Amino acid sequence: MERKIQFKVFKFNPSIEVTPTWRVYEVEVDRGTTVLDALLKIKEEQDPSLAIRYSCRQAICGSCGMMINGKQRLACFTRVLELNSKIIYVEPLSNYPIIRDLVTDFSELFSKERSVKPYIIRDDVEEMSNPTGMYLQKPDELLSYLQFADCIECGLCSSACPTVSTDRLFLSPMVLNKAYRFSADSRDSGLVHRLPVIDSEHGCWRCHFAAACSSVCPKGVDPAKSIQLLKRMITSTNIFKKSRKRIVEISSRPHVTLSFP
Amino acid sequence: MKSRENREGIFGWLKFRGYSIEKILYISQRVSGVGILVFLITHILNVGLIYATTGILWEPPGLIGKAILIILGVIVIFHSLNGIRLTLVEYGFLVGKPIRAVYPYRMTTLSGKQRLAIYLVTTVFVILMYFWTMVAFHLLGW
Amino acid sequence: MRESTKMLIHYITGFAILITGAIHLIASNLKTLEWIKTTPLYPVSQGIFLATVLYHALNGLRVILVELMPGYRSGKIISYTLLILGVILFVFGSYVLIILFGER
Ligand code: SF4
Ligand code: SF4
Ligand code: FES
Repeated sequence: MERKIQFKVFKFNPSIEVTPTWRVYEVEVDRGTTVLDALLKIKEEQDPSLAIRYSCRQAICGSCGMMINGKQRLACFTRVLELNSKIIYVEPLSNYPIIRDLVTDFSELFSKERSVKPYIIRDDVEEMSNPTGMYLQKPDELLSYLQFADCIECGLCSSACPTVSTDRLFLSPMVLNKAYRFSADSRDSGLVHRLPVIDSEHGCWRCHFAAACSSVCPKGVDPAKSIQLLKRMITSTNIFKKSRKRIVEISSRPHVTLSFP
Repeated sequence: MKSRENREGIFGWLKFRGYSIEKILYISQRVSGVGILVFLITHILNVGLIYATTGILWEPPGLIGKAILIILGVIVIFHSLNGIRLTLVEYGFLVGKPIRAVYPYRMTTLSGKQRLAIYLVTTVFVILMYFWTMVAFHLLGW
Repeated sequence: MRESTKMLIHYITGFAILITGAIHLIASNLKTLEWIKTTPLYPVSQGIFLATVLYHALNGLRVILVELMPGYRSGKIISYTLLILGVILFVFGSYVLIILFGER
């Protein structure tokens, strides 16, 4: 069942143009066509100058986020017909600088992400540099962060958050979710090193549970949940001076077996 | 390579289509809070200055004063009820435990206990509004 | 002060306002319960009400302004301006309370 659908696409090249324009394209779509497929078809057949960023086409790389009919969605994860509208508006993600057409600049977001140290931090430096074994994690310890580790860093949540729309210094949901994912990991003890950033004036307390982030996340990560849990964790370590149990034992099995003949 | 800022500014706070009801509640909490703040400061200054100069503590308000008080009551009741829910949520109480993210995805913040709290807040708000209307009629002398 | 401390106080004062504010409203509006005003703890609860409500309101305003005007310097300016405003209002309000209840 093929249908003709109109696409209104945002076209803008800030290096040479002053104002954006909207171009209209008509595309034949069927049941399985995603918005990304349709845009690629436009690029192939009608307008080779259209700039899009994408890579995996299967909602795992997080590059194709855009505003589709006014809401943050992954282009490759949204089927055209499930939107149920004759005209489809495609815009770049809001709250990021526009590089060209549908491509936005994430560098600020990624530098914020680096500022929360998104990696396991441990005190046993010697073991970290010369590992002798592995840390065993129980299933419930794994479950306490597994959902938040599913984030593909597509930045949809950080685009949807109302705080981000005025506060350019706010760490934003994606970064705070990362911070919680590592702080909740039972192998990690780096919360104190992250505190100066996440417990600051533009840290996790600028989230007011509008839950816009969770309503756009395409991977079921639920960043609004991890941010509230992060607040709880910060309060209990900062004010009630509670610390959580951490893995200290190392199971003697070597974590890599190198055996050359 | 030039890029252009695309921040929504304060209008981003007011975009509700496609997002969840929590966003509307969040803005309502802000707006009602600012309203109460304005009343609070004028109330402290007003009552204090009148008392300091004339020695009268409390004059029965006129019609406009009564209207302001009635609206203020609605705002305060909403702000308190929603504030209780938000306090619980922000300390991680109603948001649910981390789950496995398996398709079809389920957001425990947008369903379950948190939504139940919203319905509860709404119900209590409606009940209290009923009583507040009676108080308002009494105030207006109808 | 850390942001987490500020916000914890914000939520605690929120609950304190619920109690002290209810006392304030009941005692000044219900004729039959006016005896509350003659108890010795009433001025104390009104002092607490004044302090908590000012903290809660001005901290809420600070949060909104900080989000509207992000920046290290503007954050400082906002915080200290609101702190001074709060102190002035608190001194003024407690002055009124003292001349109100001081006679007794
Ligand atoms: S829950 Fe917090 S981080 Fe997520 S969109 Fe709302 S304000 Fe932003
Ligand atoms: S939390 Fe969800 S919406 Fe946000 S970056 Fe990760 S996958 Fe994307
Ligand atoms: S192309 Fe990889 S997420 Fe859409």
